[in-house]
Parts: sequence; structure tokens; C-alpha cells
Amino acid sequence: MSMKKGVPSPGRVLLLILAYGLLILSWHISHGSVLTEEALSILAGQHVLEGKAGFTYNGHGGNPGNSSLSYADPLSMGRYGSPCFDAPRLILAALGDKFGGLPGARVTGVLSGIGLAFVMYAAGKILFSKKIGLFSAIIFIFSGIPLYLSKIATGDIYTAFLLGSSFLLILFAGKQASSRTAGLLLAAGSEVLFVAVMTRYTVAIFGLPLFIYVFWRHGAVRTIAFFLLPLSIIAALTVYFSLLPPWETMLASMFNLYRGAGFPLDTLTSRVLQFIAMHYLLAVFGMFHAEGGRTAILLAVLSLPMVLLQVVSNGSQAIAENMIYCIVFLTPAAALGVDKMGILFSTQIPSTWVRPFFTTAIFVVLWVFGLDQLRWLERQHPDMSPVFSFLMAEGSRGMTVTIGSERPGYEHSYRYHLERLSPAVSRIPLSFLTAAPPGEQGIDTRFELLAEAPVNIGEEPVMEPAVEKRPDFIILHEDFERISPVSTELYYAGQDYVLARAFQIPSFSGLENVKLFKRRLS
Amino acid sequence: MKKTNGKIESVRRLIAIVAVVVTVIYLYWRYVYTFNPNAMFFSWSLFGAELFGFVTTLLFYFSVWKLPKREAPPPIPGRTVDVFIPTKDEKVSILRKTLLACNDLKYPHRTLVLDDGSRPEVKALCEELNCLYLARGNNEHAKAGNINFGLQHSTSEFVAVFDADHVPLPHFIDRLIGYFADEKVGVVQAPQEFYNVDSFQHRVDPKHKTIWGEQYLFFSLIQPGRDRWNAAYFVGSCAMLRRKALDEVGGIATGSLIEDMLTSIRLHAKGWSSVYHNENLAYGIAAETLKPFHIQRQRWGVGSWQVFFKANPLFIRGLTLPQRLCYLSSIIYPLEGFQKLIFYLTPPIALITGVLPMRALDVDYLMHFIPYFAVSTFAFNEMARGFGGQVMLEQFSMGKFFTYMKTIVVSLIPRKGKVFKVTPKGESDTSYTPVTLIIPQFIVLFFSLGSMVWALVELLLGYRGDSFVVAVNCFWALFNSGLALAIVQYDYKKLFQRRGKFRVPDTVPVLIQVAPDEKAPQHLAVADNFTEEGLSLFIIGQIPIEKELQLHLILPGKTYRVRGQVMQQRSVTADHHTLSHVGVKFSGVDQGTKDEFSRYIHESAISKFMKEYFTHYKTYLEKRFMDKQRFHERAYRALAYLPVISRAEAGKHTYGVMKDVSETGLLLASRVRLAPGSPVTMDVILDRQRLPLEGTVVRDFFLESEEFPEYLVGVQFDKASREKVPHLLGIADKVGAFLHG
Repeated sequence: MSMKKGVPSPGRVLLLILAYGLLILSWHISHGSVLTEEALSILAGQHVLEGKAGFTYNGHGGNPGNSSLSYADPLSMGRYGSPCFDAPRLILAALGDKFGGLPGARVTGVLSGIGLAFVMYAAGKILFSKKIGLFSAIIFIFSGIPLYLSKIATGDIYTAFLLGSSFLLILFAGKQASSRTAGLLLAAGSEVLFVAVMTRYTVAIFGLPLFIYVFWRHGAVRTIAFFLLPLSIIAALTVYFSLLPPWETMLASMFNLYRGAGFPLDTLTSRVLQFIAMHYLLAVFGMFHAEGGRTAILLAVLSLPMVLLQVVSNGSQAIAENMIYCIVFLTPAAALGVDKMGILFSTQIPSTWVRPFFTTAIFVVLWVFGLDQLRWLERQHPDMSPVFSFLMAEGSRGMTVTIGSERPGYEHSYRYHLERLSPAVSRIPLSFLTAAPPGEQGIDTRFELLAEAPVNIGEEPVMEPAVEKRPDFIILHEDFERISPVSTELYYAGQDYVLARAFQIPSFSGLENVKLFKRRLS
Repeated sequence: MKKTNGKIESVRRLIAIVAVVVTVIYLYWRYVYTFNPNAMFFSWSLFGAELFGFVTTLLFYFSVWKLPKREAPPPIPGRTVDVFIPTKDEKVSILRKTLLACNDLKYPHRTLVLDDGSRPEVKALCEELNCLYLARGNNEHAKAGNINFGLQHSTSEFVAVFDADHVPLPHFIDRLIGYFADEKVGVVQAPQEFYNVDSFQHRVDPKHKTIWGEQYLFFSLIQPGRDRWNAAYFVGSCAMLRRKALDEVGGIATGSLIEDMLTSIRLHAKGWSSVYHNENLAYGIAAETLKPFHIQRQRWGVGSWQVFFKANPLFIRGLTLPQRLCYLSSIIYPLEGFQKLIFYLTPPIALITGVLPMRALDVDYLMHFIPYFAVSTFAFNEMARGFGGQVMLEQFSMGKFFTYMKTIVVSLIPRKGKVFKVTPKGESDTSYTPVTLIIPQFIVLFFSLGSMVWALVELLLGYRGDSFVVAVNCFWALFNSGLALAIVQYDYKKLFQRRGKFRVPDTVPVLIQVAPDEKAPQHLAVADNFTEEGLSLFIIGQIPIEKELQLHLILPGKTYRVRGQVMQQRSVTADHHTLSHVGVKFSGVDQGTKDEFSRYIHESAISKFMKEYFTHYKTYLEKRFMDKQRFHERAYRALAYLPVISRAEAGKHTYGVMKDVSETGLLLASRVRLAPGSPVTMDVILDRQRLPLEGTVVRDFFLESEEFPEYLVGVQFDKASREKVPHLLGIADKVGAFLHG
């Protein structure tokens, strides 16, 4: 692409885009309270740094925000031990937290986000042109989901970066004249793809389409030698040493979840497309572009498996998180679509300013749309800061706390904050006690079992001394309007506990109730 | 008619059927599930607009379902033909060109000028050019009355009718008269082609040699399609009519501003056939700016409503069902104005008020809309056989929507003394556009952009949360803004265009000499366009402005010596050469020479130029499935006009122009025929240097005009010459970029 006089070079424009990305991602980075997955990442990173034996967190086991297959992630079965492909990110998150608190931990997301923006530029450039590459980077940095996921310290954007890098390496291999270089790049692409899969199990769904793409572009011999073979070797090793032992547990987890989910198809489709409809809409325009329309179709097809997985698996959670992987493939196609829309809207008016004007106008719309989507996504997670502040103010060193919620994992958020107050705070997660068979599960049962709850997740269950049966605080946290242990408040109130404070936390579904009960002083 | 592959045609029709089915499903879904109960009027409006679009599309598919292929039958000799030129206030200079061309018509005929302006200068012109002059002294029934007056003074078996600006080619009558061998044929119509492609209704891409004309869809597709249903109709010019048929229907119909269509309806109702011969046989002047365009379309629109109310083809006896449907589509089209208005207003209303003409503009809606839109757009483009250009059609719909809306109002309000307004054409002083004419487009532009800004600011501030609705409507509003801006921009551009008259692109070798020094050296240059008044020269070098020149125009068959003065010059430097485009105005050219220039321009240059450009684009199916050889990728060619002195085997040199050049050969416009297979020696003139090249003629095309013979010759370089080509290609690239931007 030749650049006209007075027009900055693509390199400078890219720097400007990345600088804007850095700015927007750093802006208000301390928003809200810590998310469950963020807390998990930071705590796991701390474990690694502290060199704790029997490292128990291997990714995102407690992440409720994944589709059903990711629930079955064997890496969540911490007790078996497995290679931690997430380790670099976890360590960075822990280090960031150590030096900069929660915003520091979130820098990991920012780095992955900026990295992925560059990957989008490079992919757009290889597939189409420098201009489309720049458009890709802009669209990515203007989109709500990438912004949201890059501003938090979870693993989604990291995995997306790995997936994008793998795709980029595969694309780059296709541009090489030397078959040796192409082969090496393909091998690197396959390894990075595997790492991406290991950090987020659902990404495996892209394995087959990428294999077909490589096969189509490079032929059978090169695909087998440089793509399939390296992938098979590392996969076999990982399966043998890490995945095979928990295989049955993993399958059971998958089927249990599949049986448990039951969203109507149209509701689920709407939810899925809510996050990527704009990208698909732009990509449709890209498909009609005279130069590269077919590639846009190919990219849209590559993005589809995740949508299908989400719909077929009936998984209703973590849709936004999973759709980032679609966006990796869709963004260059959407960029081509913006270019096509610029051509279309300028209706062949022979003035040099018209097309840039309309293209800019389209980007302005996308920018506002993205910011609004970011705002919406940030509202999804309730800001628990008032609860934490209350506990910090009312609590004391060595206190014991029990957290009751239908949502597994909230305890990690509380833990993250309570450990600021005192590393000695013990947590007795009430949610672990709800596993009793239906009919047998009652308030009494729960309470009786309380004493036998493990105090640390992932560690071998430790029987608490009898004196610790009664925690200092009981936190009852409603989740997604589901029936929650909050209904048990009267029971606790009638026993040894008194309601210390009730919070109503605004969330996307309305108000979430959080009630804190304090043990009566005897 | 372009030959079309039968299989592709079948696939096209299948796609059209699919599109119709998909549209029916979509409209059913829209009607049953999507109406907004809180905005029923809004919902019905948009649905009505979509429904109207579907009806017109159905009628369009019906009209163009199959395209007949016609070959002109041999002319029937010994018949009497009168050529009618109805005129009212057109410029004499325009009429002169038409009469000169009429005099050149090969088939024996008389030319009658029917002057409703009763102008002495027109009478004098007729006397000078040996044409019959008739003036009736009143304007009753406008053009229809004028032609009927002509019929009263004519006894010929056939009449040919041309508007004053339509210049026929010499073989016009020969091509059409053969159709009258069939005694049932009452009218034979040829396309109305326009050569001033810088007009408001044309879009030209000189780089890719393409022209899009707003009327190509009608003349190149709809009329041939209707011809199959015996429903092609007389369009007032460039046609021949059988006198007997006209007499049977009482002459040209009066009582409508579109007398031509009404006459056709009556002819068809009486059982007469019509023929559409799809070959450009005359070239006219298109409406140059929005104002004449508006006048013309308003007249047609009002005329359509007059036909609708007074002689509705649905109810007239004698017409076949296909004829009724074809005529119906020709008279309901002004309703498009209201349809488009709804499309233009919907996004701003939704953006400002948040009210939608459907329950929700969500993913579900788009999942229904996008497949419907994609399939119907694809089907339309295929059925339009490369003449559609949907964005361009939308652009012109934007230009016409208010005019069409006005036609209904004008038709419904009875006014005394309605005046037939002739479309101002050709350097008309009244052809500029008053700002009031583009106020509707301005309103659409500002309303669309303003509502966008409003909604985006609201979204940004968090006052609303319907971001997807806002985004989609913003895109729609932006598209509408683009359409409106195009109309405003083109009109603005036309307003400030310095050149009053369209210069016909051509490539003429010219020997130039600085006057008055007769002994001054001569330089060979190329004129890349010219008129009777002047030309523009491409030269390597420079000539001072206001310099007097002696020019030897080497036209096919004859060289003309004229004086000229340099009026303007544009230069760039490339590869140590100064490339200049020089505007030259002729001085002291006598009328006879001007007439010769006029004849050359209209009988040869325009035809050559129009044939050099593509007036239709390749559809997806054509690109994908047509014989690859027809669309094979050619080697890179630099489009550059450079003068050439060529010598064939006999050794006699001749002047020509290199039209393009590639690594292996060049295309030469030659004044003499060079037979394929013969060797040729050429000197390409670069400033004061000559680049000698040798090669073999591989193909040649004769460029039609017998009086101005010219050949396009493909030359393949020999081995030695190919080594010199990179240098030539380098210069040619620069020249091409300079000339064609």
C-alpha cells in the first residue's frame, strides 16, 4: 500500500492505535472488586512463587465462566497434578498484585490485550493489506469484549493471545518461500495452539478447522510433518502424564454439566450473538469485498466452531469469555467489512475526502458501541467493595468466616480480600456442604457438617477442632437470582448469629443480596 | 444483445425464483412477528415500502425473464421514409448537427423539421441544409401535436422520429426498416444513447474504461426483455413507425406528457407489434445537471400518472396480460419516491426517538433480514445482467425521490395551462441547478448525520442502552448520507465545471507548428479529445499559453489544417520529460470545416469512444462460469497515447496513435489497414526522440465508419524490440497516470 504525502506511515498509525489501547485499558483499571477468577489467578500465582508443594491450581478449575466443556477441564482436577501452561500469566498476576495490588495484577490482561491487537494487525496485513491490518487493530481495540477481558486479570485474553499467535504463525508460514522456514513456523504454530488449548480447554474446538486450513494451504506432507506430528507428540505426552488419570472424572463432569444445562436454543443463540453480532455483521460486508471477500468467508467459517460449541453444549455461562476466540478470527474479516462499507457509503463519489470520512464515521460508531458494551460487561460482575470494606472494618486477626453461595468460587474473592486483613483468617466454604443428596440436604445437615469442611481448597480435608465449628462471620451471597442460602438467614438469626449488615449489590440482573451474620458474643 | 451463456441464464432464473420465495417468507415473518404494537403507523410504513419493493422487483423479473436475440433483417428497398425532427427551443447549433447527420442517412428519405418555436433561424438552417421546414404556429398538445402536424404534411409509409439533439448514424434506417417486412410491426425502437458522459446521469471510470448510465438498465435490459413479451414501447425518439398503424390509432396520442408510451399502448391494444432493436444507432445529449434531469423526470412521472388515471393498461381492452404487467411497471414507478422517503426517514426517527418500526432490531431480526437482503441483492444483480449497479441506482433514487413525490401532487392538482417543458440540453444557460432543487437531499444528509451524532452522544453518556439498534441505524443513516452527498457533490461539481461542452474522447494524430512561422519545425502530438471548437493535446514538452499554433488534424481519410490558440496548459515532469496537456481553441475555422468535424465526431468518434468503454459490468456468475478465454487475465498494459509513425511492407508511412503497450506488444490506432501476419516498423515519438520498434501484426479491427475508416491493430514486438520496451513502458506508465489520473 503506498502512502500519500501527509499521511502517517502504517507503523506510526499502529503505534498510535496501540498507545490508545494502552490508554483505554489502563483507564479505570481498578474498577470494581476482584473477580473470582482474578482471585484464583493471583492466589495460584502466589502458590507458585511461594513454591508450595502440591501446587493445586492449574488454570481455571473454579472458573464458572466457561462453556460446559471447559467445566470438564482436567487441569482443574488439581489433586492429580499437571503441567501448568498458565504459569507465566499466573506468576505475572501474582507479581503484579504484590507490587501494585489488583490493578497491578490486571496489567497481565493489558499486556495480552495489546499483544493481541498487534497480532490482529499482523493477521490483517498478511491476509489483506497494511490498511486492513490497521483496521483490524482498531476494531479489536474498539470492541467491548477484548477491552473488558484485557482489563481484568483472568486467563481468557491470554488464551486468545496464544490462539491468535498460533493463527498468525500459520498465516506467516503460508507466506514463506522457503519450505524449511514455513515448516518451522507451522510447527511453532501447532505448539502454541496446543498451549492455548491447555490454558483453555474449549479452544480445542479450533483444532480441526485450523488443521483443515493448514492442509489446504500446505498440502498433506507438510501438514503431517510440521503441524500434526509436533502437535501429536506434545499432546500424547500431556495426555499420558497429566490428562489420563482424571479421565473418568473429566467425562463425568462433562456429562453432568450437559444434563444440567437446558437453555432454549433461541435464547442461547441470542446470548451468543449478542457479543459478536457486530463482528459478524461487519464480516458479512467483508464477504462482498471485491478483494478478499472469499478470505472473509473463510475467517467467518473458522470462527464458527466456538459458536456451535456454545450452542450445542447448552452452556449458558462465560459466553462473552468464549466469544473472544471467535473475535480472533472475525476481526480481520470485520476490518475488510469496514473497508467495504466505506466504499459502499461513499457511493463512488470521486472526492478524496469522502471515503475516509465515511470510514471514520463507521469507526466512531464502533467506538461508541464498544465502549457501551464494555460498560455493560463491567456491570455483569457486582462490585463487592462495600462488603469487603465492612468485613475489613469489623473483622479482626484470626477470625473465621463461612461463605454461603450457590455460586462456587465466591469464596476466593472473599479470601483474596480477607487475606489482606490477616493471612490467618480461616474460611469455611458453606457451598461445599450442599453436595448432600436431595431430600437429605437441609439446614440441619449443613450445619452439622460444617465442622468437617475443608479449610483450604485443593488441600486435603482437614478436620477442624470443635471449637471452630462456629465461624465468626457467615456471609450469605445470592447469585444470579438463584435460590440461595440467603433463605436460611432466619435459621441463623435464630441460633447464635445476628444480622450484622445486609447489602444490596447492583448487578445486571437487578440487585444481589448479601447478608453478613455475626456470631453472638457468649 | 450480448451473447449470454444459456446455462448461466438458467441459473439466474433459478436464483430469481429462490429470491422470490425467500422474500415471501421474509415478508410473511415481518408481517406476523415483527410489527411494533406501539408504533403501528411506523411499522406499516416500513412494511409497505418493503412490499412495494417486492412488487416492483417481481415486475422487473417478469420483464427481463428472457432476453431475445435479434439480428437486423436486410432493409426492404423502395419504401418512402420521412424523418421528423420535432423541436421547440433547442439551440440551432444542436439542431444543425442532427440535420447534418440526417442528410447523411443512407436510405432515401426526406427530413422534416417540425419547429414549434417558429424560429426564422431554424427556417434558414433548413434552407441551408436542404431540409423541409414546418411550423404550425401554436403548441397545442406539445410534441405529440407537433408530430401529428408533421404527419398531416407527410405521405410516406414510414416515419423516423428524432429529438433535436439525437444525431443518427448513417445506417439508422437501413438497420430498422427491415423489421417492417412483417406487416404486423407498427413501431421499431432503437436505444437512446447519450454521448455526453460527463452528464449528471453518467458515471465514468476512465482508468477501467467503464461507464455507468442511469438509463442503461432500461435501454439495454428492460426494453429488450419487454420485446419478448411484445411490450417494448416507443420512447419518443430514435424510432421508426408505420404510418398505417399511426393512422389507425389517430396519430401520436395526446392527453399525456408521455405521449410515446400512450401511443404504444394504443398500438398494442389494436394488435400492432413492436420491435426493439438493441443497437446504438443514434447519440444524443443527456440531461447535464440535476435541473434538466428533474424537469425530464417530473414530466415522465406526471405523464405516468396521466396514463394511470386516463388509460390504465390494466383495464384497456386488447392488451395481453404480459403487456399489461410490463406497462404497469412503467407507470407505478414514481411511487418509489414515497418508498425511498420511508427508507431515508426510518433511521433518523429511530435514532432520535428510540422508536422502531419493528418489535426489536436485534440479532433475530438481522438473521432474517441479512439472508433475505443478500439473496435478493444477488438475484437482482444477476437478473440485471450487469446493468444494475445497485448502489448507483440507489444514488439516483436519492436524486429523484422528491421529484417523483411531486409528480403525484402535480397530477392530482388540476392546473390550467400546463406547459410542456422541454428538457434543457447542450450548453443551456438554464441548466444550472438552483439550490432549492437539492434541499430534499440536504435535509436527508443533515437529518441523517445529525440524528447519528445525537444517538451516539446519548449512548456515550449512558442515557440509552440500545447500542446495537443505534449502531445498525447509524450504518443505515450513513449509507443514506452517502447517497445524498453524492447528489449534492455531483451537482456542485457540475456547477463549477469550466468546460461548457462535452469533449469527445478520441485519439487523433496532430502535427503542430508554432504559427505564423511556416518554416518552423513540426511536432507530432496526439489530440485526446476534441470538439468543433477546439481540442486538447497531449505533448511531451511545453507550449506557452496564448501561443498561436498551426494544426494539421490527421483525421481518418482526410487531413485538416486549422489555426488555434493555447488557452491552458497542465504539465508534470516525469523521467526527465515534461508531459503537458494543452487546451487549444480553434480560430478562424469556417462553417464547412466545422460541419466536417461535426460529422466525424458524431459518425465516427462517438461510436469509437462508446465501444471502447464497457457499459456493463461482469456479474458474479459471468465471472465465475463464463468461458475463461473470454475473461482471461491479460498482461499488464499501460494506457498511454503516444504518436506513432508506422510503415508497413510497402514502405509508405502513416500516422497513428499507440493506445496501450505491454511487454509483448502494443495496440495501434491506424489510418490504414495493416493485414494480420504482415511485418510493421514503427517509430514511437517521444519529444524529439524516436523509439524505433518492429513487430508483426497479429490482429486488426475495422472501426465501422465507412467515411472515416480507421483500424485498431494489435502488434506483437519482435525480439530486438522487446529489449527497448521497459523504457517505453516506464514512460507510458507516467503518461497514463498523467492522462487518466
